[in-house]
Amino acid sequence: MAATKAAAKPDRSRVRVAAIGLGLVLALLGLGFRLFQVQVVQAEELAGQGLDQRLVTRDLAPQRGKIYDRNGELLAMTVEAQSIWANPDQVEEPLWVAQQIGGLLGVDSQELLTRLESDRDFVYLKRQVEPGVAEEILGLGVRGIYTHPEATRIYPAGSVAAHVTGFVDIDGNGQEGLEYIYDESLRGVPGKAVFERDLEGRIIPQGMTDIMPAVPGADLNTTIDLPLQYQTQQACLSALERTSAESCWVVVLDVETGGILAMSGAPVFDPQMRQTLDANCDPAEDPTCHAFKNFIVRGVYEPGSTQKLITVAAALEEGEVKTGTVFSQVADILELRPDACRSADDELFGCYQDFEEHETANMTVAEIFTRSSNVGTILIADTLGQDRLVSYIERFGLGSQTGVDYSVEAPGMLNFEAGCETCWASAAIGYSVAATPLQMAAAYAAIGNDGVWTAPHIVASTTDVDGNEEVAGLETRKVVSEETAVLMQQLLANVVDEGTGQAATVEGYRVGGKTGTANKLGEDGRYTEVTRASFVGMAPMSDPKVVVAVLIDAPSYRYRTGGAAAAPVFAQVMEQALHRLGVSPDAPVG
Amino acid sequence: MTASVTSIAKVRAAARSRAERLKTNNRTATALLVLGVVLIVIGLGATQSASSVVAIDQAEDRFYFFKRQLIGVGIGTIALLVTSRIPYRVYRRLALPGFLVTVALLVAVLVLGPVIGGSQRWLPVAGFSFQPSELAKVAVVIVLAHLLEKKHRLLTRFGHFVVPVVFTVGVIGGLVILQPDLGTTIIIGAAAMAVIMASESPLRYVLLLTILVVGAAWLLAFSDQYRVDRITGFLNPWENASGEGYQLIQSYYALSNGGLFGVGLGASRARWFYLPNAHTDFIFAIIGEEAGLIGGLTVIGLYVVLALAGWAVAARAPDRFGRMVAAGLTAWLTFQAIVNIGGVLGVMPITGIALPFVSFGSTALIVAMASLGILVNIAQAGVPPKT
Repeated sequence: MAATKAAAKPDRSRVRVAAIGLGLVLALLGLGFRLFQVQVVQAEELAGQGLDQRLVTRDLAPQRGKIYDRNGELLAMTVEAQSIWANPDQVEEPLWVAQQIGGLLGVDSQELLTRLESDRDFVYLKRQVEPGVAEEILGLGVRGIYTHPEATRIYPAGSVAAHVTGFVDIDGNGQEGLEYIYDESLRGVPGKAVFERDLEGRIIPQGMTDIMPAVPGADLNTTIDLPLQYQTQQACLSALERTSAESCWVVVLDVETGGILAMSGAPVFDPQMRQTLDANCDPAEDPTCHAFKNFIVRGVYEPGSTQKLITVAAALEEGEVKTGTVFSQVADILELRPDACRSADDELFGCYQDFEEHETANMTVAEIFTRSSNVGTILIADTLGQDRLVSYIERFGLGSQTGVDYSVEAPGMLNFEAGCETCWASAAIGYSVAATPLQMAAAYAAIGNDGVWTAPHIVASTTDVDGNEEVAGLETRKVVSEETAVLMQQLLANVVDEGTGQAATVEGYRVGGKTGTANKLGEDGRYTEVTRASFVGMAPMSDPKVVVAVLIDAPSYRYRTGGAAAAPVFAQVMEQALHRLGVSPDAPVG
Repeated sequence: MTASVTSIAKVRAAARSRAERLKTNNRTATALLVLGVVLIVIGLGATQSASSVVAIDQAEDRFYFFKRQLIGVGIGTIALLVTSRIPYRVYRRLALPGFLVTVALLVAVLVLGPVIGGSQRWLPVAGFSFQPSELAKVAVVIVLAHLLEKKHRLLTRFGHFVVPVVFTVGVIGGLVILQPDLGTTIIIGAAAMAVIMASESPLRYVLLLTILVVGAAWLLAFSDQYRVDRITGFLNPWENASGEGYQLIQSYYALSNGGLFGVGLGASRARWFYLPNAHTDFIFAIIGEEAGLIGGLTVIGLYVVLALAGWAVAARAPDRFGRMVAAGLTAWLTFQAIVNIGGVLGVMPITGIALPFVSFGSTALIVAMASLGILVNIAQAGVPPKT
């Protein structure tokens, strides 16, 4: 009895043990089912969320395109630099660090100290320094100071081509000039890198990566001739010294193509020294700052006598006069309103005088132009009437943008107020008209190009990363007939040979051109004694290749005329231009 | 003549049955050893994979955790060889001294142990950290089995049943919960429960005790809203995705990333700091990510084999003590695996306990291997079940 009971008991506990075993196995099978749910049924959704948390997209900065001159010399390029930054949290002795690093970076150590004591965890100490400097700084072994590579824009020609290239901001965005207007082509297409990162931002080696490489920007092949650009700048700098002018601007145009061979000015600036550039700065107040200016494209002035080219060409083209047509009894003063010259507001209201007094005489059209007679030119314009005169001024490109590939071009304007009875006369001699130096150069180039106006431009072609070259098209229009153009060329040559522009002579070449001297308007709206002296001309006259326009702003009184201030600069630049282009001399020897 | 023939036949039959018995016993022992070896090898691989990133970050040696685990495997192998050769009945004599040593160690850890992550679990020993609570699991099983065996004739009286149970489980479980280590306490309770089930105590006592324990646990767990939130947080980890739910969500991401066949060994993404405790409590998620559903089911299957083999060992144990110990050890190892994997899969609360044989952790590994050795020893002494 006892034995059976004893035997039965282990059986009972065996059943219980089996129950435990069964329970454990069932639980494990349940887990297997759950595992199937997570790894197969819900896998797609869950794995997608997991991937999203790991994926990170980084933009790959494209290499910015280069800017070349016509000979393949570099005007702008992008190189790898190092940016120095700090995590102020980790910097243990900010004062010591600021003093150590300030000198190496050329940053004021007080300024550095302020940054190192900020409560942010990322501050730049200096961006885009040379790799050597970065190495030196890292070599100090200071905790919390780091570097990362960053592209920087450099301008190998320095200030020489600065007015052409413009510049980029610290982040490489085009701000001015070619850098601005061609920003989209130059910057290229950013790439993308998608990869899996760990929780601390490092790339997981086994992770997926999806890289769409950046497409480098296109290179710009400009029409600029760097040596000529340099000579132009030098000419301007010495002109400033000689004439004590505020500024000097010169543009050199290729007559046939409208390509700008040089475009320079003074004062100069270094496109890499961004911090000295400030659009609102006034150099008169702060001599260390430079407002970026390009008067050639953006500045407007009253062209004065250089405008007479258009007036005379229009009258010739319209058949109203011939070069030999005589105007009788041309005085040195003309009153378009009775007693205008005796009133206080003389020139504004119908009183016109020649620059120099002269005897009343019979003058041919050629003589009027050569001697730059205001009175005579107004008489010529009178044969056209206002409407035809204006239409020619517009045809020659004044009052609207030339379309040059440069940022923020000024259109200029024709100031013909309604009911203004004398504006046509003012316009005939270059007042009541506001033009850019580039517009004047293009107008003269149209005469040099036998009557065909060509839109000025700086970039001849762009070359993309695959070497495909895209050539910019030329925009041209017929302005006057070839006959008229050739007649005007002869008149321009006369001005230099025997008229007001004799200082523009270039040895070995026949040169033609026109001086301009326009009084500047004062703040009160009246004309002052201060002038803008200009000279626009071309050479060689046997077949004009180059137009040079020079504008000297506010020269000293001694150099107030175009002939005195601008013509010598013209001669200097023109000589260099002709040599650079290899143009054969066309003047008779001696 | 007849008698002698009969006796020869009897002897032959007895010899045959003994041979059969030994064959079966050896098969069970071999199964236990093989599954142990396989789990340990998987564990070593997974430990290396899951820990290398953290190891480089913390120790600048990608094999840092692997090497330590390898030392654990070495010591564990010695422990397994020793325990598999010690006749298990010897533990009856060691039970009470062992109990005292365990209690002393658990007290020591509460007095001397450094506070790590808000709890005291480790005693630093010769550059390693020793975890007395791991030892406590075996101790509870052996002591409880010893006491219930000693009192097996008196078990029909409730007092004689309940006093040893409450005493052993209460003292050891109480010391562990003071660390605090709720997960290990639950495992200890489950192991004790299995020992009781395998004892000859009347079923009504067992059920009563079960109701009391579950009831007490229920009251303890749900008396406090904070604890309720922690315990039920696994039901919807997205409710607190950056806090309580973070680890489980990362576990889901790892497992789902593995899919059917896994992303390949050493290619886990979760180990890149996303999944906390990847090489310890959540190593199963790394296995699932790298070896896929196939790998995960293989591991679960190995624990099924462990449960079945342990069940067989308990069923065939030649005496009550052996049965109780086998049932307790099997329940401990398997139940701990279930709680661990259940936490990783979001069907149970995360309790912070290791996956036996697999997770990084020397003490746990050594104790698990020693326990496996005891199971092997009991298996080899097995008798066929009476028909």
